Amino acid sequence: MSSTTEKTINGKRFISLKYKFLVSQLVIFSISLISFLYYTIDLYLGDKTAYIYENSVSHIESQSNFIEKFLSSELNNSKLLFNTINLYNQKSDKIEIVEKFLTTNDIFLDLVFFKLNPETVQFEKKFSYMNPKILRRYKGNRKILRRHGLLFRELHDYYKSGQDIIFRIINTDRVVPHLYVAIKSKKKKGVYVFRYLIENMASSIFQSSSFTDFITDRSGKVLIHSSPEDVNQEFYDVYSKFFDDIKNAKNNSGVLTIDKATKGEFLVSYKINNVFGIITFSEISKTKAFEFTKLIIFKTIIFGILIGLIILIISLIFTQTITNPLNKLMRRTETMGLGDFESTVTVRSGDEIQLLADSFNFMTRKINQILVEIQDKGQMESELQTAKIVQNSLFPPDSLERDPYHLFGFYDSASECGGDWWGYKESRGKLYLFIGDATGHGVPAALVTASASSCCQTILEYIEYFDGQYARPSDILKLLNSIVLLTGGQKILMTFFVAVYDTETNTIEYSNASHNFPIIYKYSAENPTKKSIQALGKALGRRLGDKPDSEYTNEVIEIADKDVLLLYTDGPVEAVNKENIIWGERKFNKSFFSRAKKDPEMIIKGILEDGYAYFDGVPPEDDVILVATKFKIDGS
Amino acid sequence: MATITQKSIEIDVVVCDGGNEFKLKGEINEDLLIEELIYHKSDLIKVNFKEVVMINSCGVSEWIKFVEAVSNIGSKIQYFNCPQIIVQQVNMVTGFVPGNGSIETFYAPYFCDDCENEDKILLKSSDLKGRTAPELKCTKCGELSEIDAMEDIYLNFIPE
Ligand SMILES: [Zn+2]
Repeated sequence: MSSTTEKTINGKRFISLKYKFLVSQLVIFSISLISFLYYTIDLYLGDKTAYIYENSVSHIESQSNFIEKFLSSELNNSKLLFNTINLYNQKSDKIEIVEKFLTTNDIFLDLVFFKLNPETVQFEKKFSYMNPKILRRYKGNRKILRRHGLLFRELHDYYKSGQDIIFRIINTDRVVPHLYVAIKSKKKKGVYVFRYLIENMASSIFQSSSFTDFITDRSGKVLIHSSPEDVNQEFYDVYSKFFDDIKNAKNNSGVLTIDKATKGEFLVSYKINNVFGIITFSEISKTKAFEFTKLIIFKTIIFGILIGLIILIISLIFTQTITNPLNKLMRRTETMGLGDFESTVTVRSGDEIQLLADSFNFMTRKINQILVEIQDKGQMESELQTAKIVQNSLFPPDSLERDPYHLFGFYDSASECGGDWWGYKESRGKLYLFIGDATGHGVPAALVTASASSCCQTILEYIEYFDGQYARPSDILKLLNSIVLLTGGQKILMTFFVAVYDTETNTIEYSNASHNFPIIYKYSAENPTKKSIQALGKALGRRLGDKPDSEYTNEVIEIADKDVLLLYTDGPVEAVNKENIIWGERKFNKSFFSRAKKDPEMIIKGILEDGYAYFDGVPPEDDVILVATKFKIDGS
Repeated sequence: MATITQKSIEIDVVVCDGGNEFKLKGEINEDLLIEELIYHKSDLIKVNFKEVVMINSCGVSEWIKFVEAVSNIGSKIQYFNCPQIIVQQVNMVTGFVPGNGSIETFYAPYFCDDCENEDKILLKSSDLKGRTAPELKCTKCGELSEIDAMEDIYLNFIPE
């Protein structure tokens, strides 16, 4: 079961890095999007509100300025016309003046002079002039022909008052919208009434699409507006509070918010003109003003979701580049857990994961190498152990006690597998003694030694089997030479010494293949000295395995009772102490002859004691072989 | 003049009267590469063993290969200043001195029984009469000092 298919790790839910990364990306993105919207929209809304506010203020400013200018201009025109016409009494003069005036003013509708009849106390029309162009244009329109009917009573009040001029914008169902200017003439005891068409004024000033503009009188009655359908009972209901508010307002201008239940909130900017007795105001729907903002928010959210999706896809692709190599590595660790130390994992992501994969491969390679080495080493060690066991079997028992001789041998290998060997064999009243030392150490040397020792064995068995002749030491060496030559291939040589003790003749015949010379203690009753020992330094030949044609000779020495023959390898003699000074021949010889009267085991153990005391803990680098043979000859 | 530097040994090759002298310094062991030595062969090769501190069985093998190679092509070999370890090999190992080779000078260990002083005395083979070491006086106390080895064995290489 691989952990990828499991839903838990050690009891905790398994969540892929991929999803963790995705979630973190989305959370980060959402937070940024929301905070972006929150701050920018807040800013934008604030800005937009201020903008709309300022815009509506400046709008009403310009509207009212325009209207005031228009009205002032027509008022001044009226005054000018009044002043001129008031000077003349002839009707023709008056007509001439008015016609002249018409050339500069195309909205002038008509002029009427009402004279007060003191007897009837009624105003009587004495002179009137109507703009013929307008008359032609409005031909048949009764509204244009209607005069001042409703205003006569007002005219009375005005005439009685101290006011010189009255000024009205008239816009009722009965008449065309117009400007009404009445100027009192004390000289002629009457009132001049001038009228100007204002239809075109409304259309020329109310051009804004976002604002709805109104001009009302002080009471709130709508005189001119840009959108007639808006002026109904609902309008007056809504605006009654507005008019109350601005009546009490200190300033002549301002901005207020009104709530039209069905249409939402409206921003209303206004300006009061006391000269003309009018209120100019514009309304704009807040909802409408912020409609665009809502659109922006909506579009931002849609765009945000789109970007979110793109991020999702990109992160998915991106995290794949992380999780895929990781999964690869994970699968590799699983196969490694199953014992595969050889496969490699290939990651080409060019990042830390590739480095991880590379070092992972390096690690598995190393582990594999170490495993192989451990295996090899284990094999080698067991091989060495086997070789040692085999080799140990080649050594004879260390002690041999017979009537004519008493022998004791000691062997200690410096390495797992030594190249030294010693042995003996009794055959037909003869004692064969062997000692040899192969060059080098370890398995190759041990193998050569093994073949040499088995060769010795074979020679003697052969002689025994065929009831044969005596094998002379030189013949044995010659045979051994060819064996060592064969197994050692001239690379591993052996020094070798063969001695044969004949119990009948009490002689030793020996032959030496460059082995260090054995020494013999010649017994005398006196205390042994260095003069009591001799070396068997003759019958020297080449080392075994050196040349195929090596020749060996024999040498015979006499043996007397209690003589002691010592065979040894140079290991102990060449071994050093802590000062790196070798034990040396003199000390070694002395160690031997000083106890030569003891039995062989005591001699060997004594030499070892002296040697190890001298070495003082430094182990000999070479193998150590010591073999002492003491001869006992009856009757002498 | 050349210096052969190997793992365990350094050999100075200097021109001498009649050939080259090899001055050995270090250990003669399995690391000895004889090819470099053979390269410096001459009609007469004088080998100076004075500073050889150790020789093992593998080194003996290599050395024998060297002396056999050069003597086979007619080089005459003379050993000088042989320390005790070399003399032992000369005595023990057949072939260490090739047939046409000779030991000219060697060290012999001398031991004074009176003051236990050890001396290494350089002897000239041609001065000896048979295998008998000369009697010398101890360099420390002036008493008689004897060769510190089995005389006939140590001088085995001297013709009888
Ligand atoms: Zn002395």
